Amino acid sequence: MKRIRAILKRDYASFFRSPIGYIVLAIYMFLNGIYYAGDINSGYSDIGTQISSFEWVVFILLIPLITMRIFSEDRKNGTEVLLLTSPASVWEIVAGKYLAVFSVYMTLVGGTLLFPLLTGAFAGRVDIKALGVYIGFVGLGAAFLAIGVFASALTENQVVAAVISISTVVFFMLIQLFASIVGNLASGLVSAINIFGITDLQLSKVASDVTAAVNWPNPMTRLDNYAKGIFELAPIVFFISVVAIFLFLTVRVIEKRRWSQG
Amino acid sequence: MSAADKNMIEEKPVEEEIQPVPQKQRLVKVKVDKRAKSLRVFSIGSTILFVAIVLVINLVFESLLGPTLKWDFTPTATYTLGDTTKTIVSGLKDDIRIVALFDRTSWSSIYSSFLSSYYVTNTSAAAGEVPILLDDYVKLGAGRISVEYIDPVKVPGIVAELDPDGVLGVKSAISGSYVVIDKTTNKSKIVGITEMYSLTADSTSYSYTNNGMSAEQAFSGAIQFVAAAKTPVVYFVTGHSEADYASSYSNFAKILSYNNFATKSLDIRTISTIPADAAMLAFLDPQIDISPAEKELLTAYVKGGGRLLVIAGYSPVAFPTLNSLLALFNIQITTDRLREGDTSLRYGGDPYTFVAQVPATDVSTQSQLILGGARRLEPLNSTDAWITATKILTTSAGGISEANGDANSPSAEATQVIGMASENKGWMINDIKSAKVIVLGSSALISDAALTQLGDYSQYNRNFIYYNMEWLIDASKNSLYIQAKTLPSYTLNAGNATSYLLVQVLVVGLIPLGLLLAAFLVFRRRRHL
Repeated sequence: MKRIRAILKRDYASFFRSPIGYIVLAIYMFLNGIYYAGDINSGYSDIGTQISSFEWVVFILLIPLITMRIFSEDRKNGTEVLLLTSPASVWEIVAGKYLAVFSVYMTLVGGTLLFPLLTGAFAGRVDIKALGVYIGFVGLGAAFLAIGVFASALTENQVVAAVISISTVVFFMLIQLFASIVGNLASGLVSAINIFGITDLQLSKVASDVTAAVNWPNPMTRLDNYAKGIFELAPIVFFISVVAIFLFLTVRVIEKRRWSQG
Repeated sequence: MSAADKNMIEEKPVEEEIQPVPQKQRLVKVKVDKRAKSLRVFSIGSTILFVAIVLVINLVFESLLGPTLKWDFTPTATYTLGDTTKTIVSGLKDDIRIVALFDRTSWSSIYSSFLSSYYVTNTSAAAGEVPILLDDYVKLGAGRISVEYIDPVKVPGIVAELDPDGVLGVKSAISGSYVVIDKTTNKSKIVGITEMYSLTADSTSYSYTNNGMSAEQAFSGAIQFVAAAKTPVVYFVTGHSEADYASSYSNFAKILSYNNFATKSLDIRTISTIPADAAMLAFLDPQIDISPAEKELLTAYVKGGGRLLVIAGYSPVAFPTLNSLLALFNIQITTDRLREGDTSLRYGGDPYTFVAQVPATDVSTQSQLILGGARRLEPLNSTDAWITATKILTTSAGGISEANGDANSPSAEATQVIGMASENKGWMINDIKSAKVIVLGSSALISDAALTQLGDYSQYNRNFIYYNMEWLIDASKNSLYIQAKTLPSYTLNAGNATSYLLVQVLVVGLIPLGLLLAAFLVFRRRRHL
C-alpha cells in the first residue's frame, strides 16, 4: 500500500508539474462555464444535464490526454526499468499509476462542483439527478481511464497511446449504432434462410435480441438511468469489472515485457 | 511484438554465425525459452480465465439481482408505482400484454417530437420516461405483465394481430402509443402519448406546459379496463343542446376513461329504457328542459338505483320538468346567477369568476377551487329521512344571487349553493341500490376551456370532480386516484441580472484564464529542465 501511495503521489504531482494538467482543467472548466453562463442567463440551471452534456468532451479528449503519458513516458525516458526493478510489484505499479490518473480525473470532476454551489447560492435546484449524473460520470470515467492506462502501457509513443484510447472510446460511443445494424443484418439473414416459417414478430425479436447482445459491453448506455434519478448497482459492478479487466491486461502486458526482456 | 523481441530475433542469426553458442549456454537458452513459453501460456490462460469469470459475474448479477438492486430517488418517485396500482396488479386474474408500437431505443425522439408538436415550453424540465415506468409494471406483475416493443414498420403484421377488425384504431395510433391487452379475453385498449403527460395550454401563446407524467394513471386505468369482466358505461345525454363531451369536456372524459369507464352518447328522446350497462347518466350544460316522457324514463332509472350527474351553468333557461325529477332529491335548479361579493375571492377582478368553497363532506375533503358562470341551486326543505342532500360547493358568506340573472336584483350577501349531492334510499328493495344525484351549477368547473384558462389551478377542479364521481358510483375512497407526477423545475429563485453577469464572467473568463496562466507559469519554470 505504501508503494502504491508513493507511485500515486509521484505521478499525480507530475501531472501538475507540466502545463498539460492546467490546460486540460482550463478547457473543461471553460466549456462547462459557457453552458452554465447560457443557463443562468435565462434564470435556469440544471446541473445534471450540464454535466452529462460534456461527457463526450471528457471521454474523447480529456481522458486520453490524462492517460497517454502514464506508462509511455516512462518507457520513452527509460525510467520504466527503474520502476520495474524497484521493490514494487507490477500490480502495485499499475494500481499506483491508475489511482494517479483517477485522482487527476477526480480533480477535474471536483472543479465542476463550483456549479452546483453557485446554483445553490441562487436558490436553484440541485437534486438527486445531479448526484446520479456525478456517480455515473465517475464510474464511466473510471472505466475509460483503465482503457487509457492499458493503451499507454502498449506503446512508448504518447500520440499512439492517445489514438488507441480515443478510438476505443469512440468505438464504445458508436457501438449502439453498430449493434442495431448487426441486429437488422441478423434478422435479415434469418429471414433469407427462413425454412421454419419464422414470423415477422419473431424476426423482430431476433433483431432486438442480437442488438441487445452486441450492445451489452457498451458502457455508455449504462448511465442512462442514473441521469434520471434511478440508482442501480449493476452498472457499478460493470464499471468495476471493466477497470479490473483492463488493469489486469495492463499488468499482463508489462509482465510480458519484463519476461521477454529477461 | 515489442521492440526488445524484435531485436532479439534480428540479432540471433548474426551471433550464431560469428560465434557458435557453447553447449552450456545453449542449455540455458533452452531453459529460458521453455520458461518464456510457459509464462506466455500462463499469461494467455489467466487472461481468458479472468475475463470469463468477470463476464459470468456480471451476467449473473445483472439477470438475478439487477432489477432488485435498483432505487428510484426522483423527488416524486416518478418511476415507482403507487399503492393503487399495486392493488390493481395484485388483483389480476389474467395475464396482461403491453405492446409499444415503436422501438424502445426511439423513445427519446418520439418524446421530443411530441413536445414540439404541442409547442411545449418547458422542454428542459426533467422528462418522465414511460419505458422506465413500464419496467416497474413488469417487475410488479411478476410474470403476469409483459411489455414488448414492436415497430409496425418492421413488423407490419402486428397491426392486424392487435386489431384484427380495425375497431381499436391501432393502424392510425400516433407514434408513442401502447396497446394494453388482456391475453385471456383479448380485450384491449390503446394508451396514447397524450394520455401519459399532463399538459396545460396557454391560450395566449398557443403553447403548452408539461406539468408532469400521468402515465401511471393511464396504464393502471387501461389494465383495469381490459382486465375487468364488465366495462361500466357513462352515458352523456344528448337531445337538449348539451355540450359535446368529446370536444368540450375531454378532460372529464379522460378522468372517466382512466377509471375503467367507457363513455358514450345517449339520446334519451328515442329510447324506452336506459341501457343496463349504464353506470351513470350525465347532462353536460343542457339548454333545453327534458320532456315529461323523458322525466318518466329518468325517474324509472333512478328508482332502480340509477346515478345522475347534472352540470348546468348559468343561463336564463329554466328546467321545470327536470326540477320535478330533482325534487325527489331535494334539489332545485334556479335561474339565478351568482357573483362573489368578497373582492379578495374574485379571479382577475371578475365578480362572476371566483374562488368557490368545497366544504368537508362525505363526497370530498375541504378545499377551494375557481369557477365561473355559476347558477344558484336551491335545497328543498323536505323532511323525508330517506333523502340526504348535502351542499358540496358554495360561495363564501359574501355570495350574491342575482334574481333571473338581473344584476339590479341582488340578494343580500350570504353563502349561496352551487353544488349539491343527494342520496335517496327510499327505493331500496332487495338488491336495488340507493339513487344518487349530483347537480353542479357551473359548467365552467370542468370544461376544457375553463381548465385551460386555469392552468395549474385546474388540479383542484379535477380533484373535485374525481371525488364527485367516486361518490356517485360508489367507488371506495381513493380506490383509483393516482396523481400526476410533477416534473421538477430548475428555475433559479434568487439573484439578479448583475449577480448572474458576475458569475458568467467568473466561470467563462476568470477561472479558465487563471488556469491557463498557471499552465504558462509552469511551462516557463520548467522549459529549461
